[in-house]
Amino acid sequence: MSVRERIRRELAQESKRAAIAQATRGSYLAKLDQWRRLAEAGRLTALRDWARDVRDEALNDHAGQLAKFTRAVAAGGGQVHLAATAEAAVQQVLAILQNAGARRVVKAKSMVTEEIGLVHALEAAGLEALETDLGEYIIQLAGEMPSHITGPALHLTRHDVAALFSARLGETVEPEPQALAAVARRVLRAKFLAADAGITGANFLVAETGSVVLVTNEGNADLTTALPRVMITIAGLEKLVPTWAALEPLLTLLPRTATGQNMTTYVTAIAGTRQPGEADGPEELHVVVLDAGRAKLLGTPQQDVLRCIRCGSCLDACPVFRQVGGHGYGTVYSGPIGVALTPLLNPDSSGLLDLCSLCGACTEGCPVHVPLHHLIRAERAMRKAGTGERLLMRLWAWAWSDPARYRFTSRLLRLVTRPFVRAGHLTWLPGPLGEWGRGRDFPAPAAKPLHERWRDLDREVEP
Amino acid sequence: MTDFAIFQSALVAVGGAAIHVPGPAEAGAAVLAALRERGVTEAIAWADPLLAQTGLPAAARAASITWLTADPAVDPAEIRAVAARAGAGITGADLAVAETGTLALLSGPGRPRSVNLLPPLHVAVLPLERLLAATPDLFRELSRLAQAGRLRGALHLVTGPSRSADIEDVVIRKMHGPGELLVVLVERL
Repeated sequence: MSVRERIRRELAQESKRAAIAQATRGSYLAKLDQWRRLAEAGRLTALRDWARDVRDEALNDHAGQLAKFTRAVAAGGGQVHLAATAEAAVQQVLAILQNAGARRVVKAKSMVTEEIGLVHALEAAGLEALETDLGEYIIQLAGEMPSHITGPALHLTRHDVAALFSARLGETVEPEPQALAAVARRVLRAKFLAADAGITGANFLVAETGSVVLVTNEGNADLTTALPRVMITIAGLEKLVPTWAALEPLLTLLPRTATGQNMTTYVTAIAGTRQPGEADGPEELHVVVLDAGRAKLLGTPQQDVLRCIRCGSCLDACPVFRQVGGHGYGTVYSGPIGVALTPLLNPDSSGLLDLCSLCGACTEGCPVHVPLHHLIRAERAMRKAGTGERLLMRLWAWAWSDPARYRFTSRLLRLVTRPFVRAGHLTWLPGPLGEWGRGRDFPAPAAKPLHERWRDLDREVEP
Repeated sequence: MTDFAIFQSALVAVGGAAIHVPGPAEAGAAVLAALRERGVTEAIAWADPLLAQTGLPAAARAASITWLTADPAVDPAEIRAVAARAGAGITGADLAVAETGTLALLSGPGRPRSVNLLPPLHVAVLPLERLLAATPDLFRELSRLAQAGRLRGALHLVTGPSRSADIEDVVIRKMHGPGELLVVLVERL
């Protein structure tokens, strides 16, 4: 399906669009409220700059931080694995589960496991792999993709979820969020207690202590890491931070920006396996650090995209996202960060670069100063134009870089467009411009162009 | 406003509750009252030095509440089974932060993670002197613990009861963790 077809499909779904508009507006306003408070306390600018600096510190010294993290995890009884590609990461996870004899898997929310298609691969291998974040659980039951980085099921209403639970769990549930959550809690609690392995992503990996830091409101990452005997974390290599001191600006800004909370309900840091004398926690711990196109960005101007902490606030700020939602992009990462990041990881997806008006609202609201629309513009410039487009642009440049040619062609344009002018606008445009003009008014050439008016103006002021 | 008052209002804002009591005996009475009010019949607790001074296990048993102290000698399988069915989990806490209403809990021997995660009610009892003013103080302390090699195992920063807003952005409680959180701060040990 082309980008264009997908967008038409999404724009036609009125109730889904209304749900996305409401959810993005709600979290956008909650974030603005928090940012206003930080600004009034004189802390906002300093926190954002500090957050950017600690992200850059880790990215600039990536090899050193990774080595330090690897040593710290090993000291705690765990193991770090490096995966060059998505397939390698999936194979690594499958091998760990097989070695451990693990068949029942519970999962905490993670965008990177979506990126590598982990759950489908586990299911294909005959394992049970259940999402435990409420939103992820809902879309897993529905067989859909997440529509938002922090709210994967925000496009579904309570009635959609009630119908889904009735159909898939075989019990009638009232269409009330609290009642629906109670059913999910009961079903998933049994799965947590029976699971052999827990799989998580990571919000941060702290090199200093080898800690995997997970941020949730539901507590599902806590149960995923506390109960099963095997713990596997999969994280992009950009998740490293040097120290606990460096977490302060990140954990101050992340909840306030993502959901408007002062602090997320649970911030959990797992460092190593179950320690001697402990009654619970994993006996086996693996951290799979994923490259999949990231390492080649280190040391380039595109490295800045790796500062992202996945708060989702650029999605809420984006005029394109608010109309088409995450499904309009057809990729795991949607919104401005998806447009900036996805083509860098996978050049085949450069069609995404068109889903941006370069308005800059994303960049303005990014807590860690990812220069989102500047990156998108730079990537557009690298994209190869078609032969026809290049020829047309050259011709245009030639015609309008000489006053005589400019005057001649603009007079010509005025003549040929005359039959299509209605109320100062063109009613028809040729070829690809026609598509461009479907949603826009193209003004008709002026009856008296600026050149001619200028000449007359000259005569008026210097008689 | 005192740090306690700030802590209490931050915690109430996220759906939790906090009280302060003069000493360990009053802390025990407060915990017992909370359990009885909710009709809890079975509880599990950390093997924590402050909890040991509250007289709780005996008082709870006298009130017909089955009580398990999860000291390292107890079989881990039993701890998990009891935590999974208990009506309340009672823990200590290493730190608290007034600004955000946050608790910091470090796992360890006698301090199982399940106790503060599985039961529907979590009660944390800690000395008032461990209450810090704001987030920068928390990270200064965590940084100190990290450098001392004391962040092994699990660190849970808990701010209020478990919640979700994944259906229509409506906030609900008791998603996967406890639906209720009560913090008891003890003034004198």
